[in-house]
Amino acid sequence: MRFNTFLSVATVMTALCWAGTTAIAGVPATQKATAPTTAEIGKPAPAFTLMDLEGKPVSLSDFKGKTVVIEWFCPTCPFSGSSSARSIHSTGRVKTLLKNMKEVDPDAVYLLIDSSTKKLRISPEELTKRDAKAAEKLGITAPILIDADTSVAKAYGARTTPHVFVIDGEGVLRYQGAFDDRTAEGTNYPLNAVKAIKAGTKVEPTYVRQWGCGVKTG
Amino acid sequence: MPPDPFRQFRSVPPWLLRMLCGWAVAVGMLASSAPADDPPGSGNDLVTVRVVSDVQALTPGGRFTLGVQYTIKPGWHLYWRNAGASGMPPTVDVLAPDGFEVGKPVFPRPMIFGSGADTTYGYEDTLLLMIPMTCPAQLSSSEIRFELTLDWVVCKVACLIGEATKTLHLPVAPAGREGVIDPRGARLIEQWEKRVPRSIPAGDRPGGFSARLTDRNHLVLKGVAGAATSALYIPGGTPGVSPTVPGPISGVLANGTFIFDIPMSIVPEDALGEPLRVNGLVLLGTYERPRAIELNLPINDAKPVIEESGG
Repeated sequence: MRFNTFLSVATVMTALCWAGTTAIAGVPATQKATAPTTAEIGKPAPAFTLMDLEGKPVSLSDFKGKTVVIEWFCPTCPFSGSSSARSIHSTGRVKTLLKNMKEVDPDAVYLLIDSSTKKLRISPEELTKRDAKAAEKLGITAPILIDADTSVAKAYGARTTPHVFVIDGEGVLRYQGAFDDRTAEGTNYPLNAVKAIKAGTKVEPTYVRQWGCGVKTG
Repeated sequence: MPPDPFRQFRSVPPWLLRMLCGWAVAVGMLASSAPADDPPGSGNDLVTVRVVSDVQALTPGGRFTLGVQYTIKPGWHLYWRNAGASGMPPTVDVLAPDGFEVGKPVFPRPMIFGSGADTTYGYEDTLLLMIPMTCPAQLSSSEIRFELTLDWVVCKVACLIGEATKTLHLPVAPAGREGVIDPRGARLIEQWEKRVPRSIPAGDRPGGFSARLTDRNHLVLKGVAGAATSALYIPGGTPGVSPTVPGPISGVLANGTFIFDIPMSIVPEDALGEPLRVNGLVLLGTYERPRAIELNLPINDAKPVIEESGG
């Protein structure tokens, strides 16, 4: 009876520890997504400041004057992460994009944002570790930013990994949606957008339905 | 004197208390860092596939249906042709000898997962995709080999990719003989055909159904609801054309009819070179007792008002 009572106490403590560790592994104080709170083509993209894998804050405003391509990333998603040989990184499609993008616009910037804390039910610290491993395995050199409380995913309406957003040098959202048509030879939509922005022409298409793993923000 | 609530603990040695507390802390920390669920290694662990046909033998010029049956582990799901906010539909590539016509996979009415901007459409437990086939006018060999390359994404919280290649050999019926129905395959395909939305092709005038796109880009749908207690519209995901409101849209039921008034976003530059068209399903009844209407209306750039009406 006494031992049973102790087991109950241990269970309660486990629950408390669980809650405690979750609270400890909370949202970094520097993270924020600021107005506007929704991403809309032709409108200023939501500003944000997020931590990279080294714990350094990175803001969208750091890249003012440059075209920024953002890819929503999840290390365990077979379309974007390292768990499948068919992801956009495993197949080299991101490397091809980066090479072609730099030829078109050497100043263009590629960022990855990971909002998987709620989906994977892990702390931002654990997600950072997993992303570092995935980056090493996949040879990702672009910054990976941790969206600890998923507020940036909410602000952008990021639905999948990979869901891609292209923002011009004025901070205006010019494209959002699919990374490509899922083939190495096919159309890469963010590259098209970067080319159009560089040429000063209209971005077409501005939206192609995104595909991939869902992003959990609620 | 009130009873001591901690009386039972007072006889426990402090070292045991500390050990158990340490154990509890360790368990707590492990639990907080563990993933929600460790998914299986591949989508093949979660979905089994088999290929069926509604005929046992082929005849020259004859039509038949191939069915790809997916059996899905509980809790996981596959996707409709418009997956919705995330996911991806299964793909089926049929390799058939020259002269065979291979149709596009026909998707039955989907289920609705989630809500609002996170809504996805798909199938739990089981799915049969149907591929309409037509034989050439002449069949020279006595047996025909079909190779199906299958690819799917199966999701719960995590998503996994599955793939398989299946072959099916069907004999050719002797000259002058009818093709023989495969009773089991035909029965299965017939059951799933009942779940396929009834198509409303342009120009058709089925009783009581009308679809109109107003000059303010509102899609107005009217039709007979019968005994249905709800009516939902879900978009087919055609590029460049989508409702401005995400997720399924509820229609109004009144006097045995349904009415939808859906504001649409029409962006020609997002059409990926395809003709602009409104495509979607009106869902009546339930998933188990389905009734669904497929809407497929072209949008005329020059004259953005289209109208189809039935009696």
